[in-house]
Amino acid sequence: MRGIAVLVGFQVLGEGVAWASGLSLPGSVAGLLLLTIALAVFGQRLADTVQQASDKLLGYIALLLIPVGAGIMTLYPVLAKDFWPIVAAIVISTVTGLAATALTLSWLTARRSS
Amino acid sequence: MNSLASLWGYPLGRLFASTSLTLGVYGFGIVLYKLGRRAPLLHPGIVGIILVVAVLTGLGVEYTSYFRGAQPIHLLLGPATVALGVPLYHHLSHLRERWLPLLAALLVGGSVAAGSAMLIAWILGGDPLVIRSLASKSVTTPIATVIAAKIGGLPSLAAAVVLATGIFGGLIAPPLFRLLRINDPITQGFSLGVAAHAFGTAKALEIHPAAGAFAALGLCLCGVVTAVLLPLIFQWLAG
Repeated sequence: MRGIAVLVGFQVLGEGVAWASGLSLPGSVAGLLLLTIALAVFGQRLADTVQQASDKLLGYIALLLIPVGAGIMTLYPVLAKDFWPIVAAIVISTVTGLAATALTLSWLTARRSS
Repeated sequence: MNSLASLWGYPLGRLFASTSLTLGVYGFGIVLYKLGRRAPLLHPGIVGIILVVAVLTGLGVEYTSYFRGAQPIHLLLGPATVALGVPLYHHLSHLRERWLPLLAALLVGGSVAAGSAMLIAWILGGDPLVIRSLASKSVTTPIATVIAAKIGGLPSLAAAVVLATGIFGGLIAPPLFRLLRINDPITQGFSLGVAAHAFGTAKALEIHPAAGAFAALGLCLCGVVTAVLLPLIFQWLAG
C-alpha cells in the first residue's frame, strides 16, 4: 500500500514537473523518470518500498489496458476507411524497426571489438 | 437484456457494471491464455478488449458510459506507467559496457519504426489522425496511449496498433534474425524490446535470459525516449 502511495506521489510530481516545465512530456512518464532518478539516489531502501507495488501493477497491466483499448469500438469508421494503410504501416514498420535496431547494434558492436 | 443495459444509466450502476465487466472478461482472458499455452493472440488484454466491445455492442451500451464507470481501473494506468521506473532502474546497469552502441541503436531503430509507419500510412492516404496514432507504435501500451493523446492521435487506436505490432514483432523476429544473420542474444533481445515492447520481451525470454534482460532495457528506454522526443518533434513541426 505504501508502495502504491509512492508511485501515485511520483505521478502527481511528474504531472507537476511536466506542467511547470512547459515540456509536452506526458506527466506519468515524467514521474517514471523522477522515480528512476530517485532510485539511483536512494538506492535499495526506496527500491524495497516500491518493488512489490510495481511488480503487482505491471503484472495487471493487461487488465488496466482494457478500458482505454475498448475505445476502439468508437473508431469503426476510421478503421474501415484506413484499414489497409494501418495494416501495411504496422507490418512494414515492425520489420524495418527490428532490422534497423539489430543492424545498428551489431555493426557498432563489431566495430568496437575489432 | 434491457435491464442489464439500464445498469449503465446511473453513476453507481455504471461503476458496478463497468468494473465487474472488465474484471470478468480479464479473468476469463487469463484462463483462456493459460489453456492456450500463452499464445500471443490470446493475450488477456486483447481478449478482454474484444469481449468488452462485444458485450457493450450486444447490450447497446455507449462506450463513453462504460469508460466513465471503468475509471477506478483506468486510473491505475498512470501509477503503472510510473512503476516502469523500477525495471528501468534495475536494467540500467546493463547499459554500462556498451551504452553508446545501445543508445545509437535505440535512436535509429525507434526513429525508423515510427518514421516508416507514418510514411507508409501517409503514402497510402491515411487520415492525419491515424498517422499520428501510428507514431507511438513500438512503445509499450500505457506510454503509447499518453503519447498519442499528447500529439493529437487517438489513444484507443494507438493501443490497438501497439498490441498488433507486439504480436507481429514476436512472430517475425526469429526468421528475420536468421535472414540478417543476427545471432547475438543481446542484439536480438534489445531489438525485440525496442521494436516490439512487452510481446518482444516475452519472445526474447524464450531465446535466452540475457536477451530477456536487454529486451526489458530496450522496452523501458524506447518508451521513455519516444515519450520525450515525439511530442517535441510534433511541437516543432507545428510551430
